[in-house]
Amino acid sequence: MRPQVYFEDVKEGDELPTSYSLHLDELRMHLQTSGTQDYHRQHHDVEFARKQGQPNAFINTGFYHAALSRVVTDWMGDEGWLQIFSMQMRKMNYPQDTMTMKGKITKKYIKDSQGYVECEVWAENQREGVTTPGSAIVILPLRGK
Amino acid sequence: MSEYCEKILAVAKTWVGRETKLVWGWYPVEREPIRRWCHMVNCNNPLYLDEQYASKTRWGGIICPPLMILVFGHRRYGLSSSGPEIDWPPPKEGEEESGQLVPPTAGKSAANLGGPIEFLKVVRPGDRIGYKEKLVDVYIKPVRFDPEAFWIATETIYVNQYLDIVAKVSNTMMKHRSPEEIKATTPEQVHLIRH
Repeated sequence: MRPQVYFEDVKEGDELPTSYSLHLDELRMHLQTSGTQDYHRQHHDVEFARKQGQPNAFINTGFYHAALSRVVTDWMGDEGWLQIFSMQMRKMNYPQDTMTMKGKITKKYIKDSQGYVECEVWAENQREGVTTPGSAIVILPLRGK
Repeated sequence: MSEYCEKILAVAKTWVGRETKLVWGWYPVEREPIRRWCHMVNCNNPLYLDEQYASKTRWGGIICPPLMILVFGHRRYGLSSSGPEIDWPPPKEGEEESGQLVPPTAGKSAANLGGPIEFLKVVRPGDRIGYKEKLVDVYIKPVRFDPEAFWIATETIYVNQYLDIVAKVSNTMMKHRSPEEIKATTPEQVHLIRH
């Protein structure tokens, strides 16, 4: 089984150790449409996107959901529960950008005998820094329970 | 605010509070779409991909990645319509209105801004997911490429086949105009641009 992180193991300010990067090359753009089944032209057709006033095709919502939540779900292990996830798509990610997903623990507390951990998560790229800030509330198991 | 956008906003405001009926996704939660979702972001989480591994965990088998629950609730497999010329099978007349609240806006192009999503129950392959949406607010706020972009706030609940709520979503969608549409000041001019 995979190693499990427990509520007692984490402290506020810790960075999530599950940061990772994805380069948005042509294959990744295809995987985006396959994975989300969102074939809207603005997410893969550069000329179409330009006619809409965008400088390029841009990554869709489902991709952000999957990419950013992975930082949390990889970290929380088999026993963790993602209770609330939120993100704001403030800046676009375009083909040939490299997105890096990161997270940090901002708060931890016990409520109703459960261990809650609040995290700040975000996606950044090499052009604009943070493009997609977000947050998550995770319930981690308590040792001995 | 332009008179044109003000008129559209006034109509859109009358939609606030409307709620759709419950709409069911066409397909149950399935392993292969989950695999493609994971492949998209190089996710190798065995809870989503490895039945043998997952069966030994508290979940007793593969589960759906939490953010993918929303995808399975929609008619087609996909978080949103790709447009009537792309969706397959083609949408039936009026179908879009049955599951999504789309009030009138000045622009057709959309960008989803997101919002908090709460997960209440685990979802597994074989489950059916449905959803219904409520329009909470519509307002105009400028963005870089459209000084009168329309912002649409909705609340959506997702249920399983037992009608248990599995997820709740608060979302904001921004709809904007193309540069040509921004120059237009009447509905007739916009119609000419679009057709």
